[in-house]
Amino acid sequence: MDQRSFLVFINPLKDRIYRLSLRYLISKEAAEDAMQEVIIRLWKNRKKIKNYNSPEAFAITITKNYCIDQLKLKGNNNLRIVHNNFVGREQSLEKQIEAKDELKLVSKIIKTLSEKEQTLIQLREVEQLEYKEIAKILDMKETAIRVALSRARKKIRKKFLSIQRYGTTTD
Amino acid sequence: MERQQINNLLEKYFAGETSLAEEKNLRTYFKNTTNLPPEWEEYKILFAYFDSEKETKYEGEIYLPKKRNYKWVISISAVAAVIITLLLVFPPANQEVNTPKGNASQAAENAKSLFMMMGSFPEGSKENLEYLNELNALKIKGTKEKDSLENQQSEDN
Repeated sequence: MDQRSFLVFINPLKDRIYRLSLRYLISKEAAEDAMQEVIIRLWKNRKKIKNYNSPEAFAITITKNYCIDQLKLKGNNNLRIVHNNFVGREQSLEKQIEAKDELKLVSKIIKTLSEKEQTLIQLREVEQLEYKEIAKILDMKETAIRVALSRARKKIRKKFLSIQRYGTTTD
Repeated sequence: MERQQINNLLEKYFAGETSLAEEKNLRTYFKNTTNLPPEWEEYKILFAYFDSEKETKYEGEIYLPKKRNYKWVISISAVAAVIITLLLVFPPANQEVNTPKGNASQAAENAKSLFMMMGSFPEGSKENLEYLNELNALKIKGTKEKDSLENQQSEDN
């Protein structure tokens, strides 16, 4: 795979990689750094890419693994601070509702889900991938994905309703 | 689409049983339908959020790691090393960097006029030389006498 065909491969994927990084890492800067790192890793593996059943799934898997490593690495530093900021803001969710900033509210609710649930929501709801593809990326069985996704969707609905109706976050 | 159908789809959706096509139907329905029953407003927001997320684009550039041509780098550095070694072993001949360029005859003229200013240059200098020669002769004589004196002393002892 030469430089040109690599770019052809990466170009339709770059937004997807970026969005997933953003989902995990929250900050744009961190997501952009992740993006570059993922591209370097893919470039280094470019000879192997063709051997995978789904090169796209391979790219997403690399992104996911890199971001989760970053979260673990920086768990006690920068990203925790970002997360604290987020928790702080969550307390003023009522104000957010008043401002009709409901889209941000959904984003914040998703942030409270587990890492795996967030990944599932991202891949299915945002990227609209088939269960087959998600199964490859996460190395999970399709039935397990359906069950976990169902749970995540219900959680979002429950949190959303409780905020909408009572203006508070309950678990 | 009938509300009942949507209700069924929603049930399937939350059970994780909808296909991508069915989910797309839900999205379009909630996006385009006004006057939704109040309990469905939340779904409108939810699907609108997913749609808006998909709009996020990566605006930056993609930098590929540059392929380093090691052969090229090695050959260049080898040539540089050879040149440096040659310079160290055979430094280039001094190209009269420190000797000021000048006209030799002009310099002689200058010296001549300088001596003229000092006065009688040829005669005086010669006299002094002759005097010096006489002095040397005396000195040699003196040391010889001294030596003989010392010899005498050692014989006496």
